[in-house]
Amino acid sequence: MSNGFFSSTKGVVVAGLFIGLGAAVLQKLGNPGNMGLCVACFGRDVSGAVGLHRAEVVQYLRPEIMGLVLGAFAAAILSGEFKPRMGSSPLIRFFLGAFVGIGALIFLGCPWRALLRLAGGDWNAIFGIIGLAVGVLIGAYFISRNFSLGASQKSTLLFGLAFVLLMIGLLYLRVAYPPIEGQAKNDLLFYSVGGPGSQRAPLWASLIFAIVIGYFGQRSRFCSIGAIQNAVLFKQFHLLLGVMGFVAAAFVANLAFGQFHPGFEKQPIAHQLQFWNFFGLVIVGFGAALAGGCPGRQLFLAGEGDADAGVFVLGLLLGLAMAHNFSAASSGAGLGPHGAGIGVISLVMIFLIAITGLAKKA
Amino acid sequence: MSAIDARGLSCPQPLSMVMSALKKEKGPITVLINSESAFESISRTLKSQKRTVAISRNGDEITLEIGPLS
Repeated sequence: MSNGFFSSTKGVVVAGLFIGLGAAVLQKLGNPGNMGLCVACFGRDVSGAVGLHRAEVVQYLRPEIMGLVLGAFAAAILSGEFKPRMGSSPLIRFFLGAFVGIGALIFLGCPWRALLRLAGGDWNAIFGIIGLAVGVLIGAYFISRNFSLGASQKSTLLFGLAFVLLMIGLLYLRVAYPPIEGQAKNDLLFYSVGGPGSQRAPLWASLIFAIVIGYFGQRSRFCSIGAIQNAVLFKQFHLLLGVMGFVAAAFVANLAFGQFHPGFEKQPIAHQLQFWNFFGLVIVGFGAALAGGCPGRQLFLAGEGDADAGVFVLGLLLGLAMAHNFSAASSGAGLGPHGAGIGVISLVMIFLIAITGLAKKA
Repeated sequence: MSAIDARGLSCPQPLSMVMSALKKEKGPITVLINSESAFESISRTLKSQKRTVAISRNGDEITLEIGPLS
């Protein structure tokens, strides 16, 4: 049951290259600027589509979210790695997911989108990426001092499948209740008529790319948080090379598609408040490091039967929705009215979790 | 001789525990894990160490017997 190719460094680089290329293609096919693929933004659109928030410009049941999980699920089944498990501080993971969601919307993107913004020439992302690294390093400090959310336990097949079934259900809703031209709502779902939520790659493209990316992601363990952590803590550059492949492929494809626009100003779905770009991703890096992976990696883990990762994702969806409901989310115009306050509270809460989770020396 | 039980722990705790044991422990180390991704990252680390490793599998569980520092 050797993982062969994908456990090699060449394997994770190929996975990174494909994910970067896929993101640039999805943007070309209709997804928003420097947002071919973004777990936070698309999670926010999903929570809007089902009415958890009412920000009209960011509501769409993005098939990419479901596809990433289903692709990882397929990979796990085919490789014999589908292992139902749960019970590692689920409520705390839910909160970490929510705080990560808030941080991501202060910056405007998950770690993947931070890298995609860089690959599209949005230099504001540099401050975010520095923040991400700082956040991951704070998390790494606690992990090196034996921070733990505890061990998960083996679970039953159906419990391990629960999150995958939820994704299949959402995909069914997207297919059975498609957007109606010019209408903000059909029988069930909210659909943006304008704004980023209305910029969509075709359903088939979103789904196929996301499933293949999910497959590669599960096999290669691609993770932006792990990339920084392993490089700094253990001098292991395996995952980091995968992430560099991701940026390189997106950059080259952006050049080819005319999607590379270098500069600080007039960047799509971005603001120039550099401290808050930095601060938003400190929250994301710190929170995701404690939870054991970036938002994209959590989707892959949920697909392989890790119910705790599924709980993190549900927390993420709620945090993203609340960031809009409480006006903490940023926009092109800058910070939300409550962005600073809720951002600071989120970071303090993650520190509390980190300190509380330090193992007692026996 | 030391033993590490890293079953069910999130990334990167299994690797982190093995790395700190490798620094402190000159004798043999037994590592028990049940995750393929932990197995891969630990294996990559051990390749650069001058220690022997014996791997045995029992269902989902993987035992790594890391030899003493030579």
